[in-house]
Amino acid sequence: MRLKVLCSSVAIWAALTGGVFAAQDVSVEQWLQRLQEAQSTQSYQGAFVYERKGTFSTHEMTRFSSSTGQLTEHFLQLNGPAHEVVRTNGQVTCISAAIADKVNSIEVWPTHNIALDPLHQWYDVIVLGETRTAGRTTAVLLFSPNDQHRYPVELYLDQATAVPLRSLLLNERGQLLERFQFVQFQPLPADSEQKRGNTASINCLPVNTQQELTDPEWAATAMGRADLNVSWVPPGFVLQRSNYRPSVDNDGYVLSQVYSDGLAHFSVFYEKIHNLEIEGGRHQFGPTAVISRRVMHDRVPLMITVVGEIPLGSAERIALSMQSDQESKDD
Amino acid sequence: MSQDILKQSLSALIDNEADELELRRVLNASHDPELRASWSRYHLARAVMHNENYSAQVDLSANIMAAIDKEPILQASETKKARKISWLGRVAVAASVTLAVLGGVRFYNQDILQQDIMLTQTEHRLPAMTPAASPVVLASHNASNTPLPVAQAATGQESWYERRLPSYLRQHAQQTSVNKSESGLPYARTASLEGQ
Repeated sequence: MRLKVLCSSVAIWAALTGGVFAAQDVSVEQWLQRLQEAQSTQSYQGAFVYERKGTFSTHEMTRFSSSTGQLTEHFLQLNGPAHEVVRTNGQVTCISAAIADKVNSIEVWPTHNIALDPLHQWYDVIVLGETRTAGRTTAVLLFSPNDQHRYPVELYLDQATAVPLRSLLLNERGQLLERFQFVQFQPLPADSEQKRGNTASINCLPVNTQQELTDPEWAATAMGRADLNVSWVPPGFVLQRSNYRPSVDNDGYVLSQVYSDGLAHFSVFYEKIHNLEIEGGRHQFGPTAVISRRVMHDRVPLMITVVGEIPLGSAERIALSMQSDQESKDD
Repeated sequence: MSQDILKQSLSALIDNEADELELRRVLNASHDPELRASWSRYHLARAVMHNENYSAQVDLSANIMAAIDKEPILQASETKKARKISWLGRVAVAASVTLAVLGGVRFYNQDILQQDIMLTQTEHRLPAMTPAASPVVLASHNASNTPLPVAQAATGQESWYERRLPSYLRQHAQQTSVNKSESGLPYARTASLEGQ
Protein backbone atom coordinates (compact mmCIF):
# COMPACT_ATOMS: atom_id res chain seq x y z
CA MET A 1 0.00 0.00 0.00
CA ARG A 2 2.75 2.34 1.00
CA LEU A 3 4.72 1.56 -2.11
CA LYS A 4 1.69 2.21 -4.23
CA VAL A 5 1.17 5.64 -2.71
CA LEU A 6 4.83 6.44 -3.21
CA CYS A 7 4.78 5.31 -6.81
CA SER A 8 1.65 7.22 -7.68
CA SER A 9 2.88 10.39 -6.03
CA VAL A 10 6.16 10.13 -7.94
CA ALA A 11 4.19 9.60 -11.14
CA ILE A 12 1.99 12.61 -10.45
CA TRP A 13 5.00 14.72 -9.56
CA ALA A 14 6.81 13.68 -12.75
CA ALA A 15 3.75 14.43 -14.86
CA LEU A 16 3.31 17.86 -13.27
CA THR A 17 6.92 19.01 -13.48
CA GLY A 18 7.34 17.56 -16.96
CA GLY A 19 4.32 19.54 -18.04
CA VAL A 20 5.71 22.68 -16.46
CA PHE A 21 9.06 22.33 -18.20
CA ALA A 22 7.38 21.70 -21.54
CA ALA A 23 5.01 24.62 -21.05
CA GLN A 24 7.74 27.05 -20.06
CA ASP A 25 8.89 28.02 -23.57
CA VAL A 26 5.39 28.20 -24.95
CA SER A 27 4.28 30.40 -22.11
CA VAL A 28 7.21 32.82 -22.55
CA GLU A 29 6.38 33.21 -26.22
CA GLN A 30 2.71 33.66 -25.40
CA TRP A 31 3.43 36.36 -22.86
CA LEU A 32 5.75 38.27 -25.18
CA GLN A 33 3.16 38.00 -27.93
CA ARG A 34 0.44 39.30 -25.64
CA LEU A 35 2.72 42.11 -24.45
CA GLN A 36 3.18 43.21 -28.04
CA GLU A 37 -0.52 43.13 -28.78
CA ALA A 38 -1.46 45.04 -25.63
CA GLN A 39 0.91 47.82 -26.65
CA SER A 40 -1.43 49.39 -29.15
CA THR A 41 -4.92 48.35 -28.13
CA GLN A 42 -5.38 48.50 -24.36
CA SER A 43 -6.94 51.52 -22.63
CA TYR A 44 -6.45 51.94 -18.90
CA GLN A 45 -6.23 54.31 -15.99
CA GLY A 46 -4.00 53.96 -12.94
CA ALA A 47 -1.49 55.35 -10.48
CA PHE A 48 2.11 54.26 -10.19
CA VAL A 49 5.22 54.90 -8.10
CA TYR A 50 8.73 55.43 -9.40
CA GLU A 51 11.70 54.78 -7.18
CA ARG A 52 15.45 54.89 -7.60
CA LYS A 53 18.26 55.77 -5.24
CA GLY A 54 17.42 59.17 -3.79
CA THR A 55 14.09 59.56 -5.56
CA PHE A 56 10.55 58.42 -4.91
CA SER A 57 7.63 59.89 -6.83
CA THR A 58 3.99 59.09 -7.47
CA HIS A 59 2.13 59.58 -10.73
CA GLU A 60 -1.29 59.23 -12.26
CA MET A 61 -1.71 57.96 -15.76
CA THR A 62 -4.58 57.60 -18.20
CA ARG A 63 -4.32 55.98 -21.56
CA PHE A 64 -6.99 55.83 -24.28
CA SER A 65 -6.85 53.78 -27.40
CA SER A 66 -9.71 54.78 -29.68
CA SER A 67 -11.35 52.51 -32.22
CA THR A 68 -9.78 54.62 -34.98
CA GLY A 69 -6.33 53.72 -33.69
CA GLN A 70 -5.55 57.03 -31.99
CA LEU A 71 -3.59 56.66 -28.77
CA THR A 72 -3.73 59.39 -26.10
CA GLU A 73 -1.73 59.26 -22.87
CA HIS A 74 -1.98 61.65 -19.96
CA PHE A 75 0.57 61.76 -17.14
CA LEU A 76 0.35 63.81 -13.95
CA GLN A 77 2.84 63.82 -11.09
CA LEU A 78 0.97 63.61 -7.79
CA ASN A 79 3.70 64.71 -5.38
CA GLY A 80 5.78 67.87 -5.57
CA PRO A 81 5.41 69.95 -8.73
CA ALA A 82 2.39 68.96 -10.83
CA HIS A 83 4.29 67.91 -13.93
CA GLU A 84 1.78 67.13 -16.62
CA VAL A 85 2.26 65.66 -20.08
CA VAL A 86 -0.21 64.67 -22.78
CA ARG A 87 0.97 62.58 -25.64
CA THR A 88 -1.01 61.68 -28.74
CA ASN A 89 0.18 58.95 -31.06
CA GLY A 90 3.64 59.15 -29.59
CA GLN A 91 3.96 62.93 -30.00
CA VAL A 92 3.87 65.25 -27.01
CA THR A 93 0.99 67.64 -27.61
CA CYS A 94 0.82 69.45 -24.30
CA ILE A 95 3.14 69.85 -21.34
CA SER A 96 3.03 71.74 -18.04
CA ALA A 97 4.85 75.06 -17.90
CA ALA A 98 7.23 73.79 -15.22
CA ILE A 99 9.05 71.46 -17.56
CA ALA A 100 8.11 73.01 -20.92
CA ASP A 101 11.45 74.72 -21.37
CA LYS A 102 13.36 71.64 -20.31
CA VAL A 103 11.82 69.39 -22.92
CA ASN A 104 13.36 70.71 -26.07
CA SER A 105 12.28 68.18 -28.58
CA ILE A 106 8.94 67.05 -29.85
CA GLU A 107 10.14 63.49 -30.10
CA VAL A 108 10.02 62.75 -26.41
CA TRP A 109 9.84 59.12 -25.34
CA PRO A 110 9.55 57.72 -28.85
CA THR A 111 7.62 54.49 -28.99
CA HIS A 112 8.54 51.32 -30.78
CA ASN A 113 7.34 47.77 -30.77
CA ILE A 114 9.33 45.24 -28.84
CA ALA A 115 11.55 43.33 -31.23
CA LEU A 116 11.64 39.78 -30.01
CA ASP A 117 14.58 38.36 -31.97
CA PRO A 118 17.33 40.57 -30.52
CA LEU A 119 15.76 40.16 -27.08
CA HIS A 120 16.09 36.40 -27.26
CA GLN A 121 19.65 36.71 -28.45
CA TRP A 122 20.87 38.81 -25.51
CA TYR A 123 18.47 37.82 -22.74
CA ASP A 124 17.11 34.56 -21.39
CA VAL A 125 13.41 35.15 -20.83
CA ILE A 126 11.97 33.07 -18.02
CA VAL A 127 8.50 33.01 -16.48
CA LEU A 128 9.21 33.07 -12.75
CA GLY A 129 5.66 32.59 -11.57
CA GLU A 130 2.65 34.57 -10.46
CA THR A 131 2.10 37.29 -7.91
CA ARG A 132 -0.18 40.24 -7.26
CA THR A 133 0.47 43.86 -8.20
CA ALA A 134 -2.04 46.68 -7.77
CA GLY A 135 -4.59 44.13 -6.63
CA ARG A 136 -4.36 42.12 -9.84
CA THR A 137 -2.79 38.80 -10.72
CA THR A 138 0.45 39.26 -12.64
CA ALA A 139 2.88 36.92 -14.34
CA VAL A 140 6.56 37.59 -13.58
CA LEU A 141 8.92 37.59 -16.55
CA LEU A 142 12.65 37.74 -15.91
CA PHE A 143 14.87 39.07 -18.68
CA SER A 144 18.19 37.63 -17.63
CA PRO A 145 21.15 38.98 -19.65
CA ASN A 146 23.63 36.65 -21.33
CA ASP A 147 26.62 38.90 -20.70
CA GLN A 148 27.77 41.52 -18.21
CA HIS A 149 26.94 44.53 -20.39
CA ARG A 150 23.27 44.84 -19.43
CA TYR A 151 21.13 44.62 -16.33
CA PRO A 152 18.45 42.04 -15.56
CA VAL A 153 14.84 43.25 -15.76
CA GLU A 154 11.79 41.81 -14.04
CA LEU A 155 8.53 42.59 -15.79
CA TYR A 156 5.20 41.88 -14.10
CA LEU A 157 2.44 41.55 -16.69
CA ASP A 158 -1.23 41.82 -15.84
CA GLN A 159 -2.84 38.39 -16.33
CA ALA A 160 -5.96 39.85 -17.95
CA THR A 161 -4.55 42.63 -20.18
CA ALA A 162 -0.77 41.86 -20.46
CA VAL A 163 0.01 45.48 -19.52
CA PRO A 164 3.26 45.72 -17.49
CA LEU A 165 2.21 46.67 -13.95
CA ARG A 166 5.64 46.48 -12.41
CA SER A 167 9.10 46.82 -13.87
CA LEU A 168 12.20 46.26 -11.75
CA LEU A 169 15.73 46.94 -12.89
CA LEU A 170 18.33 44.94 -10.95
CA ASN A 171 22.08 44.98 -10.94
CA GLU A 172 24.28 41.94 -11.45
CA ARG A 173 24.01 41.11 -7.75
CA GLY A 174 20.23 41.17 -7.86
CA GLN A 175 19.99 44.46 -5.95
CA LEU A 176 17.18 46.78 -6.92
CA LEU A 177 18.25 49.80 -8.97
CA GLU A 178 14.91 51.12 -10.11
CA ARG A 179 11.24 50.40 -9.48
CA PHE A 180 8.25 51.33 -11.61
CA GLN A 181 5.08 49.93 -10.10
CA PHE A 182 1.37 50.52 -10.41
CA VAL A 183 -0.46 50.78 -7.10
CA GLN A 184 -3.87 51.06 -8.74
CA PHE A 185 -4.86 49.88 -12.18
CA GLN A 186 -8.18 49.91 -14.02
CA PRO A 187 -8.59 48.68 -17.61
CA LEU A 188 -10.99 50.82 -19.65
CA PRO A 189 -13.20 49.94 -22.59
CA ALA A 190 -11.84 51.12 -25.93
CA ASP A 191 -14.43 53.85 -26.58
CA SER A 192 -14.20 55.54 -23.16
CA GLU A 193 -12.35 58.61 -24.44
CA GLN A 194 -15.44 60.25 -25.87
CA LYS A 195 -17.31 59.87 -22.60
CA ARG A 196 -14.61 61.34 -20.43
CA GLY A 197 -13.42 64.13 -22.72
CA ASN A 198 -10.05 65.79 -22.50
CA THR A 199 -8.44 65.30 -19.10
CA ALA A 200 -5.62 67.82 -19.44
CA SER A 201 -5.71 70.80 -17.05
CA ILE A 202 -5.24 74.43 -18.09
CA ASN A 203 -1.65 74.32 -16.86
CA CYS A 204 -0.80 71.94 -19.65
CA LEU A 205 0.47 74.15 -22.46
CA PRO A 206 0.55 73.18 -26.13
CA VAL A 207 4.02 72.29 -27.30
CA ASN A 208 5.77 74.52 -29.80
CA THR A 209 6.89 72.82 -32.94
CA GLN A 210 10.27 71.27 -33.48
CA GLN A 211 13.31 72.87 -31.96
CA GLU A 212 15.44 70.03 -33.09
CA LEU A 213 17.73 70.89 -35.98
CA THR A 214 16.34 69.87 -39.29
CA ASP A 215 19.59 70.51 -41.13
CA PRO A 216 22.10 68.09 -39.66
CA GLU A 217 24.72 68.85 -42.30
CA TRP A 218 25.08 72.41 -41.17
CA ALA A 219 25.37 71.40 -37.53
CA ALA A 220 27.84 68.69 -38.46
CA THR A 221 30.00 71.29 -40.16
CA ALA A 222 29.75 73.46 -37.08
CA MET A 223 30.91 70.51 -34.99
CA GLY A 224 33.97 70.16 -37.19
CA ARG A 225 33.42 66.65 -38.36
CA ALA A 226 30.43 64.56 -39.30
CA ASP A 227 31.82 61.08 -38.70
CA LEU A 228 31.76 61.11 -34.92
CA ASN A 229 31.16 57.73 -33.40
CA VAL A 230 32.41 55.30 -30.82
CA SER A 231 34.25 52.28 -32.13
CA TRP A 232 32.94 49.80 -29.57
CA VAL A 233 29.49 49.19 -28.17
CA PRO A 234 28.40 46.12 -26.20
CA PRO A 235 27.24 43.33 -28.53
CA GLY A 236 23.58 43.62 -29.48
CA PHE A 237 23.32 47.40 -29.11
CA VAL A 238 22.42 49.10 -32.38
CA LEU A 239 22.17 52.78 -33.26
CA GLN A 240 18.54 53.85 -33.11
CA ARG A 241 18.75 57.51 -33.98
CA SER A 242 21.16 60.39 -33.91
CA ASN A 243 20.47 64.11 -33.90
CA TYR A 244 22.03 67.53 -33.35
CA ARG A 245 20.70 70.04 -30.86
CA PRO A 246 21.84 73.50 -29.81
CA SER A 247 24.09 73.39 -26.77
CA VAL A 248 22.85 74.51 -23.35
CA ASP A 249 25.08 77.49 -22.80
CA ASN A 250 27.23 78.16 -25.83
CA ASP A 251 26.55 78.61 -29.51
CA GLY A 252 27.73 75.12 -30.37
CA TYR A 253 25.85 71.93 -30.93
CA VAL A 254 25.47 68.63 -29.19
CA LEU A 255 25.36 65.47 -31.22
CA SER A 256 23.50 62.67 -29.50
CA GLN A 257 23.27 59.05 -30.55
CA VAL A 258 20.91 56.53 -28.97
CA TYR A 259 21.75 52.83 -28.89
CA SER A 260 19.48 50.01 -27.74
CA ASP A 261 19.49 46.24 -27.50
CA GLY A 262 15.69 46.14 -27.44
CA LEU A 263 15.41 46.57 -23.67
CA ALA A 264 18.32 48.67 -22.36
CA HIS A 265 19.39 52.03 -23.77
CA PHE A 266 22.34 54.33 -23.68
CA SER A 267 23.04 57.69 -25.27
CA VAL A 268 26.37 59.07 -26.43
CA PHE A 269 26.76 62.85 -26.47
CA TYR A 270 29.51 64.73 -28.30
CA GLU A 271 30.10 68.36 -27.54
CA LYS A 272 32.85 70.76 -28.49
CA ILE A 273 34.55 72.31 -25.48
CA HIS A 274 36.27 75.65 -25.76
CA ASN A 275 39.34 76.47 -23.68
CA LEU A 276 38.17 74.39 -20.78
CA GLU A 277 40.55 72.27 -18.76
CA ILE A 278 38.12 69.42 -18.32
CA GLU A 279 39.27 65.85 -18.13
CA GLY A 280 36.07 63.92 -17.54
CA GLY A 281 34.32 62.14 -14.73
CA ARG A 282 32.06 59.32 -13.71
CA HIS A 283 28.75 59.35 -11.90
CA GLN A 284 26.07 56.89 -10.96
CA PHE A 285 22.50 58.14 -10.56
CA GLY A 286 20.49 55.14 -9.44
CA PRO A 287 20.40 52.90 -12.50
CA THR A 288 21.97 55.48 -14.82
CA ALA A 289 25.72 55.48 -15.36
CA VAL A 290 27.38 58.65 -16.67
CA ILE A 291 30.93 58.64 -18.03
CA SER A 292 32.56 61.74 -19.50
CA ARG A 293 35.88 61.81 -21.26
CA ARG A 294 37.78 64.45 -23.13
CA VAL A 295 39.09 63.49 -26.56
CA MET A 296 40.92 65.36 -29.29
CA HIS A 297 39.22 64.63 -32.57
CA ASP A 298 40.95 66.18 -35.57
CA ARG A 299 42.47 68.85 -33.33
CA VAL A 300 39.03 69.71 -31.96
CA PRO A 301 38.64 69.15 -28.20
CA LEU A 302 35.45 67.22 -27.63
CA MET A 303 33.72 65.97 -24.54
CA ILE A 304 32.20 62.58 -25.07
CA THR A 305 29.60 61.53 -22.50
CA VAL A 306 27.97 58.13 -22.25
CA VAL A 307 24.66 58.06 -20.33
CA GLY A 308 22.66 54.91 -19.88
CA GLU A 309 21.04 52.21 -17.80
CA ILE A 310 23.99 49.89 -18.29
CA PRO A 311 26.80 48.84 -15.92
CA LEU A 312 29.39 51.52 -15.25
CA GLY A 313 32.22 49.36 -16.59
CA SER A 314 30.50 48.92 -19.95
CA ALA A 315 29.77 52.65 -20.20
CA GLU A 316 33.41 53.35 -19.46
CA ARG A 317 34.56 50.96 -22.15
CA ILE A 318 32.27 52.64 -24.71
CA ALA A 319 33.68 56.06 -23.82
CA LEU A 320 37.25 54.78 -24.00
CA SER A 321 36.69 53.25 -27.42
CA MET A 322 36.64 56.64 -29.09
CA GLN A 323 40.21 57.18 -30.16
CA SER A 324 41.84 60.41 -29.11
CA ASP A 325 44.62 61.95 -31.16
CA GLN A 326 45.69 63.89 -28.09
CA GLU A 327 49.00 62.09 -27.64
CA SER A 328 50.40 62.89 -31.06
CA LYS A 329 49.07 66.44 -31.17
CA ASP A 330 50.27 67.47 -27.74
CA ASP A 331 53.84 66.33 -28.12
CA MET B 1 62.47 63.84 21.19
CA SER B 2 59.73 62.52 18.97
CA GLN B 3 61.74 63.57 15.91
CA ASP B 4 64.62 61.45 17.14
CA ILE B 5 62.38 58.46 17.67
CA LEU B 6 60.95 59.03 14.24
CA LYS B 7 64.39 59.14 12.67
CA GLN B 8 65.41 56.00 14.50
CA SER B 9 62.30 54.30 13.15
CA LEU B 10 63.12 55.57 9.69
CA SER B 11 66.65 54.25 9.95
CA ALA B 12 65.35 50.91 11.13
CA LEU B 13 62.93 50.82 8.24
CA ILE B 14 65.70 51.46 5.73
CA ASP B 15 67.79 48.70 7.32
CA ASN B 16 64.76 46.44 7.07
CA GLU B 17 64.64 46.06 10.84
CA ALA B 18 61.55 48.09 11.65
CA ASP B 19 58.74 46.46 13.56
CA GLU B 20 55.11 47.17 12.79
CA LEU B 21 54.84 49.99 15.29
CA GLU B 22 57.79 51.78 13.78
CA LEU B 23 56.51 51.29 10.27
CA ARG B 24 53.17 52.79 11.28
CA ARG B 25 54.90 55.71 12.93
CA VAL B 26 56.84 56.46 9.76
CA LEU B 27 53.80 56.09 7.56
CA ASN B 28 51.83 58.46 9.77
CA ALA B 29 54.49 61.11 9.47
CA SER B 30 55.23 60.46 5.82
CA HIS B 31 53.75 63.76 4.67
CA ASP B 32 56.42 65.61 6.65
CA PRO B 33 58.91 67.14 4.17
CA GLU B 34 61.71 66.91 6.71
CA LEU B 35 61.18 63.20 7.14
CA ARG B 36 61.17 62.75 3.38
CA ALA B 37 64.43 64.62 3.12
CA SER B 38 65.88 62.37 5.83
CA TRP B 39 64.63 59.33 3.97
CA SER B 40 66.44 60.48 0.88
CA ARG B 41 69.63 61.35 2.81
CA TYR B 42 69.69 58.04 4.65
CA HIS B 43 69.39 56.20 1.40
CA LEU B 44 72.23 58.22 -0.06
CA ALA B 45 74.39 57.52 2.99
CA ARG B 46 73.55 53.85 2.86
CA ALA B 47 74.38 53.70 -0.83
CA VAL B 48 77.71 55.41 -0.26
CA MET B 49 78.60 53.10 2.65
CA HIS B 50 77.69 49.99 0.71
CA ASN B 51 79.39 51.35 -2.38
CA GLU B 52 76.20 51.10 -4.38
CA ASN B 53 74.89 53.20 -7.22
CA TYR B 54 72.24 55.65 -6.12
CA SER B 55 70.10 57.50 -8.59
CA ALA B 56 69.00 60.45 -6.54
CA GLN B 57 66.10 62.80 -7.07
CA VAL B 58 64.03 60.48 -9.13
CA ASP B 59 60.49 61.16 -8.05
CA LEU B 60 57.99 58.82 -9.55
CA SER B 61 55.29 59.00 -6.93
CA ALA B 62 53.38 61.96 -8.33
CA ASN B 63 53.32 60.46 -11.80
CA ILE B 64 52.30 57.09 -10.44
CA MET B 65 49.49 58.62 -8.41
CA ALA B 66 48.29 60.55 -11.45
CA ALA B 67 48.40 57.40 -13.56
CA ILE B 68 46.43 55.51 -10.93
CA ASP B 69 43.83 58.26 -10.92
CA LYS B 70 43.48 58.11 -14.69
CA GLU B 71 43.04 54.37 -14.56
CA PRO B 72 39.38 53.46 -15.24
CA ILE B 73 37.51 51.84 -12.41
CA LEU B 74 36.37 48.55 -13.76
CA GLN B 75 33.37 47.14 -12.03
CA ALA B 76 33.67 43.53 -11.22
CA SER B 77 30.80 41.93 -12.97
CA GLU B 78 29.24 38.69 -12.02
CA THR B 79 26.95 36.68 -14.14
CA LYS B 80 23.30 36.36 -13.51
CA LYS B 81 23.30 32.66 -12.86
CA ALA B 82 22.30 33.13 -9.24
CA ARG B 83 18.70 33.52 -10.33
CA LYS B 84 18.54 30.30 -12.24
CA ILE B 85 17.78 28.07 -9.35
CA SER B 86 16.64 24.68 -10.47
CA TRP B 87 14.44 22.53 -8.29
CA LEU B 88 17.50 20.62 -7.18
CA GLY B 89 19.03 23.90 -6.11
CA ARG B 90 15.94 24.72 -4.11
CA VAL B 91 16.40 21.57 -2.04
CA ALA B 92 19.95 22.63 -1.39
CA VAL B 93 18.76 26.09 -0.46
CA ALA B 94 16.23 24.69 1.98
CA ALA B 95 18.91 22.55 3.59
CA SER B 96 21.21 25.50 4.09
CA VAL B 97 18.63 27.87 5.52
CA THR B 98 20.08 27.62 9.00
CA LEU B 99 23.53 28.45 7.73
CA ALA B 100 22.14 31.33 5.75
CA VAL B 101 20.36 32.76 8.77
CA LEU B 102 23.47 32.56 10.90
CA GLY B 103 26.08 33.69 8.44
CA GLY B 104 24.08 35.24 5.63
CA VAL B 105 22.79 38.30 7.42
CA ARG B 106 26.27 39.44 8.23
CA PHE B 107 27.53 38.75 4.72
CA TYR B 108 24.54 40.46 3.14
CA ASN B 109 25.04 43.57 5.24
CA GLN B 110 28.69 43.66 4.31
CA ASP B 111 27.73 43.35 0.70
CA ILE B 112 25.42 46.34 0.84
CA LEU B 113 28.01 48.27 2.77
CA GLN B 114 30.61 47.58 0.13
CA GLN B 115 28.20 48.51 -2.62
CA ASP B 116 27.44 51.81 -0.93
CA ILE B 117 31.11 52.49 -0.43
CA MET B 118 31.65 51.78 -4.08
CA LEU B 119 28.94 54.22 -5.06
CA THR B 120 30.25 56.98 -2.85
CA GLN B 121 33.72 56.38 -4.16
CA THR B 122 32.60 56.67 -7.73
CA GLU B 123 30.72 59.88 -7.01
CA HIS B 124 33.73 61.41 -5.33
CA ARG B 125 36.32 60.06 -7.67
CA LEU B 126 36.30 62.98 -10.04
CA PRO B 127 39.80 64.00 -11.08
CA ALA B 128 39.75 66.87 -8.62
CA MET B 129 41.80 64.65 -6.30
CA THR B 130 45.27 65.96 -5.68
CA PRO B 131 47.83 63.17 -5.75
CA ALA B 132 50.09 65.00 -3.31
CA ALA B 133 47.42 64.98 -0.65
CA SER B 134 47.69 61.23 -0.33
CA PRO B 135 49.64 60.14 2.77
CA VAL B 136 51.26 57.15 1.09
CA VAL B 137 53.88 58.91 -1.01
CA LEU B 138 56.91 57.88 0.93
CA ALA B 139 59.36 58.12 -1.91
CA SER B 140 58.27 61.56 -2.94
CA HIS B 141 60.46 64.24 -1.44
CA ASN B 142 59.89 66.93 -4.05
CA ALA B 143 56.24 66.36 -4.81
CA SER B 144 55.47 69.96 -4.12
CA ASN B 145 57.65 71.01 -7.04
CA THR B 146 55.63 69.11 -9.61
CA PRO B 147 53.02 71.27 -11.27
CA LEU B 148 49.51 70.26 -10.34
CA PRO B 149 47.00 71.95 -12.65
CA VAL B 150 44.18 69.93 -11.12
CA ALA B 151 43.14 72.43 -8.49
CA GLN B 152 42.28 75.29 -10.79
CA ALA B 153 40.71 72.94 -13.32
CA ALA B 154 38.37 71.60 -10.68
CA THR B 155 36.22 74.71 -10.46
CA GLY B 156 35.79 74.97 -14.23
CA GLN B 157 34.95 71.32 -14.38
CA GLU B 158 32.38 71.42 -11.65
CA SER B 159 30.49 74.28 -13.20
CA TRP B 160 30.66 72.53 -16.56
CA TYR B 161 29.16 69.43 -15.01
CA GLU B 162 26.53 71.39 -13.15
CA ARG B 163 25.29 72.74 -16.44
CA ARG B 164 25.73 69.69 -18.62
CA LEU B 165 24.88 66.64 -16.55
CA PRO B 166 21.20 67.47 -15.94
CA SER B 167 20.72 68.32 -19.58
CA TYR B 168 22.40 65.09 -20.74
CA LEU B 169 20.41 63.00 -18.27
CA ARG B 170 17.18 64.67 -19.28
CA GLN B 171 17.85 64.27 -22.96
CA HIS B 172 18.76 60.63 -22.47
CA ALA B 173 15.55 59.99 -20.52
CA GLN B 174 13.50 61.76 -23.17
CA GLN B 175 14.88 59.87 -26.10
CA THR B 176 14.65 56.52 -24.35
CA SER B 177 11.82 54.40 -25.54
CA VAL B 178 10.82 51.20 -23.86
CA ASN B 179 7.76 50.02 -25.68
CA LYS B 180 4.30 51.33 -26.34
CA SER B 181 2.64 49.90 -23.28
CA GLU B 182 5.39 50.83 -20.84
CA SER B 183 5.64 54.52 -21.72
CA GLY B 184 5.20 55.51 -18.07
CA LEU B 185 8.73 54.46 -17.20
CA PRO B 186 10.74 56.90 -19.37
CA TYR B 187 8.26 59.64 -18.44
CA ALA B 188 8.81 58.95 -14.73
CA ARG B 189 12.57 58.93 -15.23
CA THR B 190 12.38 62.35 -16.85
CA ALA B 191 10.05 63.74 -14.19
CA SER B 192 12.32 62.43 -11.43
CA LEU B 193 15.18 64.54 -12.79
CA GLU B 194 13.23 67.78 -12.52
CA GLY B 195 13.45 67.99 -8.75
CA GLN B 196 17.24 68.08 -8.81
